Amino acid sequence: MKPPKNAIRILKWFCREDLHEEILGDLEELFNRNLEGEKANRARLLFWFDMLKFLRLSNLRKTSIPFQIINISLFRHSLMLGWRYWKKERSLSLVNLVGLATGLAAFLILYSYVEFEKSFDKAYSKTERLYRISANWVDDGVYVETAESCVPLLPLLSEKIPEIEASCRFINLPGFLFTNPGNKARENKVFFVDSSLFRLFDFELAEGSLKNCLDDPFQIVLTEKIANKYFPSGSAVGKTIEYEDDRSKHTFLVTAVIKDLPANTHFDFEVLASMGSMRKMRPWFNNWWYPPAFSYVLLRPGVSEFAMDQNIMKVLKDHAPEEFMDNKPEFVLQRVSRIHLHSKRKAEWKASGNFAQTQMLEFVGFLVLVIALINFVNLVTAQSIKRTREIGLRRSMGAVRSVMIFQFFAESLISISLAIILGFILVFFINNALLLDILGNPVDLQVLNTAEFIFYMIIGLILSVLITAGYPMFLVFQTHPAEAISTFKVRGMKTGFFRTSLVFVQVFVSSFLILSTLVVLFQGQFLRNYSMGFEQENLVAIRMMDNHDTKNFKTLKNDLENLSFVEGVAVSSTIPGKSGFYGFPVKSPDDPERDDLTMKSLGVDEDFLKVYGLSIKEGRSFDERKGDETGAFLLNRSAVDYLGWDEPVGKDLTLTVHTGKEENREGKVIGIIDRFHFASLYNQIDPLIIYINEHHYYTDFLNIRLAKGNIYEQINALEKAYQKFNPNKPFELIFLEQEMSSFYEKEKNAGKLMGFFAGMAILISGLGIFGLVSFSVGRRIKEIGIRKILGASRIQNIGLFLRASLLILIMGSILSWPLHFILANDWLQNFAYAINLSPHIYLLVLLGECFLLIATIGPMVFRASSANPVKSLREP
Amino acid sequence: MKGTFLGELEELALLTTAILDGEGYGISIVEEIRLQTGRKVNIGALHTVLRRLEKKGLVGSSLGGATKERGGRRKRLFYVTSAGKEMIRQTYETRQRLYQQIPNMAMVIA
Repeated sequence: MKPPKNAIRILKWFCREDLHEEILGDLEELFNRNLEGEKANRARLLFWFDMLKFLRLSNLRKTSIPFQIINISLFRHSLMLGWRYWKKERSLSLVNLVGLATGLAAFLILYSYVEFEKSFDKAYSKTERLYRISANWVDDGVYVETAESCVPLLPLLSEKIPEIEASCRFINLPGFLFTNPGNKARENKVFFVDSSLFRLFDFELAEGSLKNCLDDPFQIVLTEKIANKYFPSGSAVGKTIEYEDDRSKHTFLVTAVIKDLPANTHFDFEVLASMGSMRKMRPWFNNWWYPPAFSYVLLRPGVSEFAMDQNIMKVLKDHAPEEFMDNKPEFVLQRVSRIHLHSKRKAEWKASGNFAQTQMLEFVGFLVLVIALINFVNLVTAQSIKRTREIGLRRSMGAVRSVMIFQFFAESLISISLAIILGFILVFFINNALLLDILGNPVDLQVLNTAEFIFYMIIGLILSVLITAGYPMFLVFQTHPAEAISTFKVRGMKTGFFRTSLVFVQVFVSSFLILSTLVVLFQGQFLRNYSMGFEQENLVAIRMMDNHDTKNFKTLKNDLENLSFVEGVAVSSTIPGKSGFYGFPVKSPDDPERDDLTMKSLGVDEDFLKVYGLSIKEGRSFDERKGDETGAFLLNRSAVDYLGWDEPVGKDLTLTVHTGKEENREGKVIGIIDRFHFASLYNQIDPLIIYINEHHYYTDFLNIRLAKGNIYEQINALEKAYQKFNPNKPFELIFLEQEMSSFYEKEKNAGKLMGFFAGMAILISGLGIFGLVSFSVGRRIKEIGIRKILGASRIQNIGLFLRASLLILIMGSILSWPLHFILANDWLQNFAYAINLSPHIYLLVLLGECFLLIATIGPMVFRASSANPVKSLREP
Repeated sequence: MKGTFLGELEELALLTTAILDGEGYGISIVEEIRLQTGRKVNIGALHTVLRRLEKKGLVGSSLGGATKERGGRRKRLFYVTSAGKEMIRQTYETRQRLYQQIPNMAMVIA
């Protein structure tokens, strides 16, 4: 029976070699004794325990102790000095630490946010070769750059262009899904895709198999979210699910479940059905006009995207139908990995990121970090001047340079590490507590956990340690010990200029940030408060769900009008904020030859203007008694300008409406409506024609003006009414106010984010100025005493400090104005309706800054100047 | 000043080593202490104590016979040096002197 080998190995590894023999001997002897009285297992266990008893410091191998290589006492000594200094200058040191930590936290959060935005669609194994083909064409008479293209495009290109390795189309067909009548719900994110999908993109499989999963008609792949929704218990794979839209009803077989899409992809689907099903459900779908399809291609390795554009156009010219090419469509290749930040086409899957805004935020984060670093360097260098005496004394007592250098490095390493730790704590706090409120969702911090980031972090740490330890080190080498101790001369006084210029940079940057934030905030507010020309509050719309609804809406309208809280009901072809203001051709009798005039159109009934609260500028509104059903139009101001008319009311006009066939409506312009913003304020108002519509093609929404009251009860009553009218479909209610404000979500968020970080920048700068002034007040306390004795008043003494700081502040601020003015104007160009940059903003900000400065340092300066000179001069 | 004072365990180990008269090594000393005083001494601690005593010059050691139950390893046998003997004597005398000055105890001990 042998004692356990591992225990011996551990002991040998731990203990000094010369002790091995006696210890192991004793252990084994004990083991053998135990074997006599005990069971073998117990003896072995006891051996382990006995072994552990020998793992004590006195037996430890000498060479394996790191502490003994570093000189512990030196280390401790340095730490102690650092700690004493810290305590002595508690407020300054704290200011320093908090400032750096805050700046770091701000930077880290912005960095994470920006990196997340940049990470979209970068993770596919073939990312570099994936492209989307998007179209620039005339749609409904309007030139658009859209994310979509047409269905037959990809089969044609794949056949004619060998450089295309694989391709896949996505066709959106929203419908109702259900497994039993109880869980029927409308799903908007249903897409019909080619079976080649998974050759292009690797979406993660959760269940089932991706092989042949979309090859046959009526196969369907669900995301986990949808699978759990319809199959809450057990697996979805192999089961069937019903799909119903306004034309047909089919049973699909679930062949696979994929993981929910990650947040950082431009795709936004929840259900994927096979293209084969499309062929059965809509045999006519394979045409060049409708429906549109998202088209993705995988190019062969080494193929240049630039040659492809030409190639595509050539193939189309030769093979696409002529009527299609008449509109001169163009097709462009977009790198999939660039879509999120760089593509802002119509009909994108989801709201695109904003490259400029990301860059802006990255820049802000960088600025905040710079401010914080400047602070830190400033305060540390200022403090180390104070320490020249200490340095001189220690050196004359025999401390060698290396010892001093070690001390500075240790101190700066420790304080920066502390700031980093505090910074990370702040990041988690800010992210989970504050940003949750501001953005609604916290920033993805994944990127902080990557090797690359940690590498940069360490580099940054080393650099900042070098910089902050470098300056005092420079003092060590520069100053002769005798000089340092002497009372008359302290080196480093002159570096005041260096610090002043750094503060200047800080002021410049902070002022720039404050101004930028204000502009973003004001613009956001301006957009939200801008009168859209109609009353958005208490205005809701019910979507008509199927043919039954659109044909019989009048029944529902009557029902609703009888509800006590309903002030008015009107039907319309679409609502502000949605697309569907179709461009229809118009013909003016002035100019019968022109056939390229189109206008956005809105079909309504007589009650529409009243319900929306739109006012008429000239002429009259629709009137049932005057037979306006076919022969009357309302125009907006842009439409009048578009037609070039001076006196529009009473003129003849022909509008062509597509209701399955072309339907020409000849009529008169009866009035001009006042402002009606039916799209976002990014753009000028487009020409719009409003006509009375009775055809069920364009009766998609019932708009309801509600009286003020309990909104929940009102919604319930509306839903009940709708369910009675059409029990088969779910009820969809849209709040116009919400719909309109969703345009400006991005501005709102950007404003809030920027406000938050500008606030941080202000805080940090404030801390920095506070630190520096308190430092100089401390050093000049004797000077103040002497000045007082010689007759200086308190005001003069206060002025002494304020003057210098205010001067820097004012100069820094004013110098930031031109830069800000240029950049802000540039940004405001994005909006058709924007605020003016008035000088008021600048002056107000400057005043605010001055006030802030006085509030920050005022009390301290006041206290210093009221100190009793006897006391301050007597102090050593 | 090193070596002037003895810790409690040190004293115990030194006395036991003296009793065992050159035959003392880790286990036998632990065993002897247990027999004499009923106290279970940690073997690891004892090794350290013995080494400390050796450093103070109170005990000496040599590597002795290997036995089969030790896996062929030799034991370190400790003996008390003359400094050690002197130490024992001094300690004893100090104790004696102190005990006798305790008013009520004097009778009992003498």
